[in-house]
Amino acid sequence: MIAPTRARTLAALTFTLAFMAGGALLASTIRPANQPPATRPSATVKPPPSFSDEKTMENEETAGEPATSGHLTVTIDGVRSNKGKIIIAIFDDATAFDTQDYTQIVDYAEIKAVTGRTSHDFQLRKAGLLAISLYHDENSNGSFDLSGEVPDEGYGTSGMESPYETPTFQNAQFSAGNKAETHINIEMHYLNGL
Amino acid sequence: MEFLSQHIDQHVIEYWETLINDWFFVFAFGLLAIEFGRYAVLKRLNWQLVGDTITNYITLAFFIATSYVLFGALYVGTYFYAAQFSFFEIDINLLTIAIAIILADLVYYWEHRFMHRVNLAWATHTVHHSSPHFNISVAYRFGPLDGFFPIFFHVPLVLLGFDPFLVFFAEIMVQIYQTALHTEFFKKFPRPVEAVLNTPSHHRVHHGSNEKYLDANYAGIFIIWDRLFGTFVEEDEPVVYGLVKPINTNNPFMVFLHGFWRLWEDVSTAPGIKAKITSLIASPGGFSKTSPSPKQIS
Repeated sequence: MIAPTRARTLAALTFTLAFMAGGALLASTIRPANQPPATRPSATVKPPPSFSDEKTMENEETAGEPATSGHLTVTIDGVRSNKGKIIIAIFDDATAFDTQDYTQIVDYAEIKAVTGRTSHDFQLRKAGLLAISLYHDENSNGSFDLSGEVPDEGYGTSGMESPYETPTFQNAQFSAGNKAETHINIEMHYLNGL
Repeated sequence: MEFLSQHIDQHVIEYWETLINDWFFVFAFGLLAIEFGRYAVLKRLNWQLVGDTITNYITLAFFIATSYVLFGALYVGTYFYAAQFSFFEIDINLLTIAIAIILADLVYYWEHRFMHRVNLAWATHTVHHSSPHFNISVAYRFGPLDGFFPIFFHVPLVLLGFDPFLVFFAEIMVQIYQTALHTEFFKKFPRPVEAVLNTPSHHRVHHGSNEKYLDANYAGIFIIWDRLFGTFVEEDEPVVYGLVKPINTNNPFMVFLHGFWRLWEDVSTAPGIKAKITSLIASPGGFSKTSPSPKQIS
């Protein structure tokens, strides 16, 4: 029977604690390639936009640096009713898109729903990879309503091939701002009836 | 190399964990068939062995039932409660997954050593060691509280900042690696492998009731922890599997609960409250693979 001495066991425990702390410290320095470092100043993080107050965003746009990178036109097809609003969010960060983190979006618009086709223009501030997600807030409650995991309201993203797949930045991304005009078409999908 | 630090969603981790765990379970039946072919060739096939194998899977069913009822919520609750106090902010990507698995393996070493050296924990872990055989089905032989003690050993990883899903994933990976070691099929791997990794040879020693094999080789994936901490023993004589005090039964209820029955005997016969507490927390007698007699404790 093997029995380590008490001193050796204490040394082993000390080693273990140091090794774990060191491992966690090392792990904390590995930031995802597609996400800025955790230490980035919070000032650059936009506050969450209020869905009912579009003016906040509009003001911010005009107050910011001058527009330099052209227009983005988003055309939405398949809107089923005139009721409520369509909320459009533009992301440039994969993690933010994948988690639909509205505090990390680059632009946002709230437009009146129109049956069939409707579109909206965005002024881009810089060129890069973007992804769009949108939904039809039919009851104007400012949130994307679900029954369990099934959406009650229409939704869509850029690059979406099937409404049954979890949208990812990888699939939704497109390049914009390199030319004066970029056009993106998005189909609105409805899984549940009213 | 950017893919190494590409963010991975926690739900993806959870999905992988379920996928790997479930498919390995299915795969293990294939391995078991091979083991039985080997037993047949060696003329070691008998009804006792068949009964032992069936009992292994019945204890697994008991274990899953008790774990879900008693500890499922405790596990999830503890991890997510602890996650609010996390010290570092740690992303999930291939590199941090690798680090988490290494740390979970080190944590597993201590959890496993605790399960062997503290009588109360041994009462549940003794079930896993009570088979006189050594094949993949024995890896699925569990005791009632085998899901309980690991919680406390892994919560520090959550407190350090690893995502609860990642910690659980790492735990399962260590567990699956070790599950695969339960075989007599491979004698020894090349020396560098045996030096760094836990292997069937090292784990056979761990399951031995030979005097020199007791309390050895607690490792999950890396045997280096045993080598560093002075609990390593090389396999150099035939292993006699099972407990020092065998249970000699395949009755699944007896197998599942014998540890607590033996613990109850120890505690109830211990004279006085102090001796009773000692019999709960002391190491299982002079021999780790049997329950202590009160005399051995005092």
